[in-house]
Amino acid sequence: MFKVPKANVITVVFFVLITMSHYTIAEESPELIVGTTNVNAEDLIDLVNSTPHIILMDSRIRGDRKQGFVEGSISLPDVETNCDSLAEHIPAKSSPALFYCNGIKCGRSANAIKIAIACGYRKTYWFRGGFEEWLAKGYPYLRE
Amino acid sequence: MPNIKSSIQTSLGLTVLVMGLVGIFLTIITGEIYRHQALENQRTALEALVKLKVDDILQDTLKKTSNLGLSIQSDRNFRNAYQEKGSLRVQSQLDQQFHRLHVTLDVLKLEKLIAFDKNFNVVGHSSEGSRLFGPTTVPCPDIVDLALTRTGAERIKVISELCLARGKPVVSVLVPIGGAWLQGYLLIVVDPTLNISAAEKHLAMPLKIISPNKAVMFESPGWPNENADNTYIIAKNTLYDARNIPVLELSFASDVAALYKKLEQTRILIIIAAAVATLLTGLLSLLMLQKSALKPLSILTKQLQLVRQDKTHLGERVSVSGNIEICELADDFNDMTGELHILYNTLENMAFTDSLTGLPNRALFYDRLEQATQLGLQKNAPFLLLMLDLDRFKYINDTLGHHIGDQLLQEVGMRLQNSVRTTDTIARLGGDEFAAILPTNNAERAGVTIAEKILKSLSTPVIIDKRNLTISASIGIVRCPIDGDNSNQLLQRADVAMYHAKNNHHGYTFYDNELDKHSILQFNLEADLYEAIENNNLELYYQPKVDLASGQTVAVEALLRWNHPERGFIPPDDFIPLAEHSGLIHPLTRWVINTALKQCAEWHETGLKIGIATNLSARSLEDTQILDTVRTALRTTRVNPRFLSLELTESAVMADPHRAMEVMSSLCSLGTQISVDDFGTGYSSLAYLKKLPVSELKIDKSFVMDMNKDSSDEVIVHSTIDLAHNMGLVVTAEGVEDQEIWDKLYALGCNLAQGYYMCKPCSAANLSKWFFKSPWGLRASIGKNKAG
Repeated sequence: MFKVPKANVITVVFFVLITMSHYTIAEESPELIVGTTNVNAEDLIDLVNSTPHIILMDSRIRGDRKQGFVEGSISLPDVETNCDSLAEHIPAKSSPALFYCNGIKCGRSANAIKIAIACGYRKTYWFRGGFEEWLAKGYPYLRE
Repeated sequence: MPNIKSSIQTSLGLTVLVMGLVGIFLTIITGEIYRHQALENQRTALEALVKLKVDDILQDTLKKTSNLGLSIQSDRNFRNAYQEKGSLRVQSQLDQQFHRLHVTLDVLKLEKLIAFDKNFNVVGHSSEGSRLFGPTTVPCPDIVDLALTRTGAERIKVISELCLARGKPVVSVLVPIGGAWLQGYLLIVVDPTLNISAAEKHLAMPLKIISPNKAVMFESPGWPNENADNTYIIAKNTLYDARNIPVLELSFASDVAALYKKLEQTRILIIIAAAVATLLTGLLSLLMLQKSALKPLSILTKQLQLVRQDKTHLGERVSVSGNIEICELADDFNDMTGELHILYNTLENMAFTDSLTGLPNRALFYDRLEQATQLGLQKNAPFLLLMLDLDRFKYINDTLGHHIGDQLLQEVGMRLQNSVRTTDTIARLGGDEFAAILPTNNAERAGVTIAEKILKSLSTPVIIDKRNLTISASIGIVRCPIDGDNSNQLLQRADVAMYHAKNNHHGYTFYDNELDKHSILQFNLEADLYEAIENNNLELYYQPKVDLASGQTVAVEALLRWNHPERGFIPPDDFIPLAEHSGLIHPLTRWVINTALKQCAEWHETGLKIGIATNLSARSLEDTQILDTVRTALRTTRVNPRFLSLELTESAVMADPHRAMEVMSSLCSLGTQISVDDFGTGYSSLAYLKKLPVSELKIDKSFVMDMNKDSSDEVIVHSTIDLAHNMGLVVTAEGVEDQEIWDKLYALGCNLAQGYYMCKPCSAANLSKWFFKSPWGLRASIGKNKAG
């Protein structure tokens, strides 16, 4: 018989729990949200070119934004998103606004968009690939 | 190739040694190659490692530079200044950034900052940084050219490159200003040397950085000097720009002293192992060879030496163990030595046995005689030595053939063997000569007894091929040690005694000193005579035969003269019997006939047509060659046979009348004259002579010389002349010494005269003179000449 150290057992259990939580919590966001336009990184850059007054909303919590962000974006985590906070940054309901978070496994931008739609914003864009896609495609980003 | 003899052991030892040396040499060479390979591998591995590390550092530098650029462009103050497009404000902002970041970061060495608008027009640039780059020049403009080709979203991406700007290696990074809201670009130029040089710490290896123009840009304090090169290996890594032009050359030095030491130790270990292995293999090989080949060979060699020293070891078998070939060699050796043993014994028997009679031969007899002599002296064991020779054996051999002669000898051998005791030694010495050694204490009596016994045994006729052969023998007897104390002396004296017995028809004779006095002289003379014949030292003298009726010389008698170099003149009566004994008489006779005929031919050429007479010995009658000798001599000299007269003494004729008759008839048939010499001294009767082919009678000088004083001699001479004339023979008187005898002979009607009165025997030269001055000579020749 060999004796399994207590500390090791705890580590293993912890690891298993983390993995499981990842799968349960980090579910993929829906591919489409009614009332919004899906865009990728290039579409984003084109949008900025064609409509320079577009608002880029970063729906991630502050901690995630520390890793880096798309230059010119405004930080408004989904949990803080509501009609009032949106109104502080977006001048009118018809103003174009783009939402992104970490990526496709991040539901924050989807949440924020749903809130914005509910608040009556009509011209929303969803950068579903988020910061992960931005990084992967080698576009420049800033850090605080 | 020089003929150097060395043992197999040495040769093999040398071979193994050479192989060992070659092995060690190969090991050293291989070791050296492996060492070199190991270092090369080490270097290659190092270079791979260095490349990874340097690429890593370069990427990190680009990343940091890029971050720096993005950070600067996002700075509010810079952005404000940039928005205003006032180049001086931008420059001031860039200079501020330059100072701040340059000092605080300390991870990048800024060289230049340049701000562009979207179309790459310069908006502003730092005045700080490297003096190399002027206010308006853009270091590494390639990056700008590249950026201009981009479209769409690509335009906001960060691009970078490593390049040479005015010979200085730099890293250029182009970042967008404004991100997605693209407003322009910021170019950041950094010196990468600082970052790359950190690799020396990461890799813990001294580093040297060289620019393409060989300028040393960085060198670690621990960089090895040139002399210590061999304990370092240098791993190089060259960095290139986009156009593949070298920008930086990095050299890392790895201290391999430890590796060297390790390799050296390994090498020494391998060499020692190889040497030990070679030594052991060599020793093992030699040991195996020693056991399987060298030792058996040495046994065989020793046996051979043993056999060489002592032949009795022949036939001894040697057993050896070893290689198949060696064993076969040993078997062959054994077979050979066995065969040689048998052969040697046979040869030994043959060497000491007379093949004809089966008796001991001369060699064995001499050996036994030597032993007997030694024994006789040491232990007082007297013995008799008998020497036996058959009488007239040669005659039997010549007339009846060797076949009969051999059978006779066999019979004689058997009879002799039966006549002596088993303890006696009887041997055949050769020809018809036998000898015996008879140990005895009573020499005189035993000698007589045995000699008579032998003679009696031989007296019974031997019957061969239905022929009755009567034989007799002559025996010489010596007594040891009375008559001599060494074998040579005994043999010589036995010989003397035997010849005495033969000459005197005694049957046997005991040796005594009187015999010897004579015989010693004889033995020496015999050798000298042989030499004289060989060297032509003899001379012929000639004595004229004068016709009593006409007073003319009609012939000469050739007389042999021997002028001995030491003893002076030796009379023929002294050496002719000697020559007859020794067999020298035959060559002597030939010499005389040849010489006389040559001389005769010379005289004939000068006109002296005279006859020549030579004497034949009784022994010449036994010579089967005599007829050939005469015939050949006549043919060679071309002398007419009728001029040659051959004189035989009366006693010679009467010794063997039958044989004499045969020989004389043959000679006569050649056309020569036959003359009977010394007539009156023998016992022949004229009646018998009548049957012989004789043409002349020579009356012995003893009768003629005393004719004046002794009347009976005169009667003998008278009656001889009458009787001879009656038989139709010519009569010659010898010993005519004065006028008185000449006259008497003339009165008696004698035909020819020979003697001192007319001429002494003299040399051919003197006689030639005599012919011309003597009343008997000149007229004779002239007369003959006229007659011819």
